[in-house]
Order: sequence, then C-alpha cells, then structure tokens
Amino acid sequence: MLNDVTISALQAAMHGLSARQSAISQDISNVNTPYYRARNVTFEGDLKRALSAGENPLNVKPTISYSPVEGGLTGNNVNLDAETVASVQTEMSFELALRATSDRFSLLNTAIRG
Amino acid sequence: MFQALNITGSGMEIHKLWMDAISDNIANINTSTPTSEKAFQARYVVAQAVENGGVGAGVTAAGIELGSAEGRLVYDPQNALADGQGYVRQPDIDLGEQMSTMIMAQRGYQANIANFDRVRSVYQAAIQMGK
Repeated sequence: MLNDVTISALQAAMHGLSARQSAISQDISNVNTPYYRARNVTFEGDLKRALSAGENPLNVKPTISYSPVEGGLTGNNVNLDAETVASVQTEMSFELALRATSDRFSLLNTAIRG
Repeated sequence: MFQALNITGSGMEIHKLWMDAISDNIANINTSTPTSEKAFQARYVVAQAVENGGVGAGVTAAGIELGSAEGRLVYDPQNALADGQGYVRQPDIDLGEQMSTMIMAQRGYQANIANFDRVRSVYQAAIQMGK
C-alpha cells in the first residue's frame, strides 16, 4: 500500500526529469565545445505506455537521443535559448511531481494517524 | 547523486579556464622577445565533452594549444632586446578576436551559473520532500 502505482509513476517521472536536467546541464556546460551535439531525454511516451499496459512504471528507462540540428560555425548545435526554456520547464515539472508525491504521502500519513 | 551540479560545475570551470587563457593572451599582447627567440605564444583552450554512455559527465579541457611562435617582427630600435637591425619579436595576437572570445567565455560562464541556480533549487525541493 505504501508502494502503490501512483508513487511509482511519480518516481519514474522524477527519475526521467532528473536525467533530463542532467542532459540540459551537459548541453549548457558544453555550449562552447567544438563539434558537441546537444542531447534530448524522453520518457513520457514510454511511461504512458507502461501505465496503460499495467506494467511497473519503475522499469521505464529514459531514452537519450542526439539533436539532428545542423551545427553552427564550430559544429556545435546547442541552442542556449531552447536549453534555458527546457531547464525551467523541467524544474517546474519536477517540483510538480514532488508536490504530488508529498501530497500522496501526507494522505497516507492521515490514514495512519487518523 | 546531484550529478547535474557537478556537470554545471565543470562548465563553469572550463569557461573560467578559457577566460584565464584569454587574459594571459591580452596581458602579453605587447610582450617583446629577441628575434633569436620564440614570440609569446597565445594559449587556446581545447574543450571536450566527457561522455559516460548516458547523458554525459560534463566538459573538460583536452589540452592547451599554442599560437604562432614566429609572431611578427617589429622595428623598435630603442628596445633593449632589439637585434642588430633594430627588430624585436612580438606575438601575433588579434586583440579584437581575444576580446570577442572573452565575451563568449563570459556568457558561457553566466549561462552555467544560471543553470546551477535552477538545478540547486530542484535538489533543494527534493530533499524537502515529506516535510
């Protein structure tokens, strides 16, 4: 009961978002590295599929892909504006997932304490 | 754990190293050497991404490349280092290029700091969970 599918799904989402935050950090730290290719992390589709198929959401692994965009003068294709927007979105999504997890726990807490 | 913070830290580090190299280049832009010796050679930081098969593990300096050792000959007979014909060797550094790369390094550093703040607030929120 303390490990229901809601908490597992939120945990999988936070795992994916954390990987995405690392990928964004990697892209930003390499914003001036020649020939560096920006990367994207996706997990939402797989998570949705796992949930609708009734599988354990914790088995969902984030997928890493490389941005196909043509690089600039130095062969680097990091788009700092896009990365910044993605970083803020990821931060907010993560906090949303955290909030939902906390609320779920406080619900259980209420059930335990009465 | 807290991997994203280390990645951002490596980004800050490489941009700072780059700024150090550029400062050194600008500081030595008028450094004269005798014509029998090498000119001051500009430093260029070679950045390289650290790959770990996953999202990556930041960025590192793969090495420092040196600019032209030949430099350019400048007629300066008053200089104590001047040769018989009155020439000294000076580095072939373009100040405009150095200043514009300095701005790039600075902006890169700032982008990493801004990202560091966001990553930190995410982790901060995560460790507050359940309170």
